[in-house]
Amino acid sequence: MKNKYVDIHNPVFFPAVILLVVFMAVTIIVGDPMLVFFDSVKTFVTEKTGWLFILVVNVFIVFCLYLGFSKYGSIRLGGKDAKPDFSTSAWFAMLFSAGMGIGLLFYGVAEPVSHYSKPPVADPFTVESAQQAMNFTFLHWGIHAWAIYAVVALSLAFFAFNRNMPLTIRSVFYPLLGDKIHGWMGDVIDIFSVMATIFGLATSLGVGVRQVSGGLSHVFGTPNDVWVQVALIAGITAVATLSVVSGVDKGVKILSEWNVRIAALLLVFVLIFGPTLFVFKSFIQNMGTYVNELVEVSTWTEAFVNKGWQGDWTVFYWAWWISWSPFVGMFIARISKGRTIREFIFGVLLAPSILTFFWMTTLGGSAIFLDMQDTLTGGNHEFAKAIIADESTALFVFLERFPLKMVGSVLGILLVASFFVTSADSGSLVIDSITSGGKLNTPTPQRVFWATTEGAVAAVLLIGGGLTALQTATISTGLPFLLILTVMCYSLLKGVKKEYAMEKQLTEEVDQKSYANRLTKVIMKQIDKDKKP
Amino acid sequence: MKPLKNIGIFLDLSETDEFLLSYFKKLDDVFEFDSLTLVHFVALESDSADLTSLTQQLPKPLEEVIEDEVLELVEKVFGKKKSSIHIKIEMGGKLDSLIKWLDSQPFNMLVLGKKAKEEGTGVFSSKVIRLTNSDCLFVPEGAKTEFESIVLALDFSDYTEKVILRGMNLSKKLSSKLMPLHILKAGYQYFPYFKNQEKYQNSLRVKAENTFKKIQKKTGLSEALICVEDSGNHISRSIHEYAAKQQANLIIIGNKGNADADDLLIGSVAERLTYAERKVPILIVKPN
Repeated sequence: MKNKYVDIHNPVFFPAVILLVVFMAVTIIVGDPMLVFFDSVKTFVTEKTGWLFILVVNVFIVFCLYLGFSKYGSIRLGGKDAKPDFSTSAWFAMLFSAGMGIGLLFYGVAEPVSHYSKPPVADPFTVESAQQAMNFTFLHWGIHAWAIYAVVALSLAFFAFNRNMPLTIRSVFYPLLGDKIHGWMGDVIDIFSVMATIFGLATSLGVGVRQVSGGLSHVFGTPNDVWVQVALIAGITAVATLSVVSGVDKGVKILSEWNVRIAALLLVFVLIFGPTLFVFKSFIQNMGTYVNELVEVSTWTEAFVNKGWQGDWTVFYWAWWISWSPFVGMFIARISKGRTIREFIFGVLLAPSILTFFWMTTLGGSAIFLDMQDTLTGGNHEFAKAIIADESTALFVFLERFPLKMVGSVLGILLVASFFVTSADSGSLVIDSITSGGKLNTPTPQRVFWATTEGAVAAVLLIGGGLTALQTATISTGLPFLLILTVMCYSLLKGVKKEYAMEKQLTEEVDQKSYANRLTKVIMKQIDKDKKP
Repeated sequence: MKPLKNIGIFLDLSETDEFLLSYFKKLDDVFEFDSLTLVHFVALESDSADLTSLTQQLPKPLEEVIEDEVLELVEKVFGKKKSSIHIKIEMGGKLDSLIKWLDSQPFNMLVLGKKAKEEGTGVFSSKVIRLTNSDCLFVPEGAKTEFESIVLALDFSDYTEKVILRGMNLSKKLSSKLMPLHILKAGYQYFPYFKNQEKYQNSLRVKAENTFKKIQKKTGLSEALICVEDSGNHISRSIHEYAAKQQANLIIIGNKGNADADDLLIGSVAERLTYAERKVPILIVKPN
């Protein structure tokens, strides 16, 4: 269907909208039994197939490094003459904002402190558990997460920009399914991606709004109830809608850049008023430990003693990143045209990881440091316990220890809200793109529809309950997507091999000497003809 | 399978051009193609110094001069220029823009010549065959302009059905005899301890025939499958030898076999066949 207001691909748009309504209605009406059901699915996925996640996510890293270092690294997304749409700094800012965004604020302080308090192997509240805490946090937020995104984003970008296929998940399956991707099989793949993206986003928005509301309540004493949260969703959705309407090269880009600026401000604030020297020292030490223990930690499967720690953390994270990957992958693909595969791999894998590591060290590491300092003056880890008591207020509990605590907390709230907006707007653009059959420029009313729908889904779930159920369901989609991603690697490899062979054919010289002789003959013949009277 | 309607013929201003057009005229007489586009690629970049100084002496643009040259040849071969014949001169020396243009056209088949004097396929032809999505007919200079028998080289890959359908399509118009050929490739040279060669070859034959029967049902092909035992040579050699023995006038083969790697743009059998074959034209069927 295409007119002034909408430009949609009917077989994806309508089933997606209908399924969305049905799924939400069932989740809210059935209530708790749904949560129990999804919970058992999630437990199955994390407990029984955890080893598969651990294995495959490592394979993704090897695959990415192989592509980056191999001859295929020179292939440019969008063809050999393509130019990047965004400057490298804007590209990094958008990568960072879309990929991790809100989670960094939510878990930046909470996760390291949680591992430090309840470590999987060491004794709690020790130097050993502190080092381990940083190491596990790095593992969960480092190159593994980005390798998942890189696989999806690179596959999408390659098939969209080098093969002129629509920017939707179905295109990636072209080498396997051929023209069938344009039929019902492709539609099913796209509908599945839309659902995963909407629910992934809506649940994350739910999480984010809890943090903003918690922060406001903590700092200003405002009520922290559902209605405040719904009002916040409405406000934030309105800003996201404005951003979506203005497009990826205006609103989304500007907000992402401002996000990084505010994040940098908060980082510098903590760095200056916090344990500055400790942060720099421990950043280097944490990086060293991460690199040194990467293989061991990333292949650890709790094989001999199973405390269920890994299912709750590592596998949970892998499933989480994977369930987010259609959305983040599409967004990264969209902003990465004109980069070579090598630039892409190292840009996506390393830059955001290193930035995240510094962030985690500054916030989480400082929190651990402060807690350890407390024990010297007779404290009994009250600070750490207060942080892990509620993840949504962890950041604000942490910032209370700083001078100008109001400034820090307001910065924190602002940042959560703006990360929230960038997730919502980029998510809406992605869903819009999939449901329009891969188009990048769709009519404004349609963009507004998806931006507001997302806010509405999050709000309805908050009021009617079911946010936790859906969050659990989202994690469960990690398993089928894990398999889809594996197929993507195969598809991508097939594609780049062919692309490289074609580029090689095009760059090798054609024998011009004999041709030049023939052409000269034709020209001379004409010149002679003209000379004749 | 789409009927053959739009054809692109590559001319390179050499003596092969006349042969190629004469060869194709015979097909055109039968098929009466909707459109014949004679394509010439100016393989030199415009900034070539020698070329620039020469073209400056021309009274009209180089493009028109080449077009006139081609037109002259067309009139020589076809008589008066047919309205279905078009000429495309691609300037600029950029092969990738030529390929993009080719693939944007509704060509059902591209025709390329192969010179008798030169070894191999010719660099330009081999590039076009690899890069385009259209079916390619590769005609060695001196090939007979007869179409009595056509060999269908079948390996039961994804291309097999297309190869058969194209063969049937041609034989219907040209009243050719179709010879569906399959080479039984045992690869036993790598396994010297196979005890019963004959039994093994037989099992391969039965398997091939069963698969062929299913495809026959689907396509309506009535000719029986000809299985030739692997002689230990490359499959392309066996196909070539069979075609020569049968005095076939055309070999149709799929772009790639099942075992060909992703980074091969055409399969090893099609490649070697086009490289080595000096008498029989070869039609390479592409996926799209």
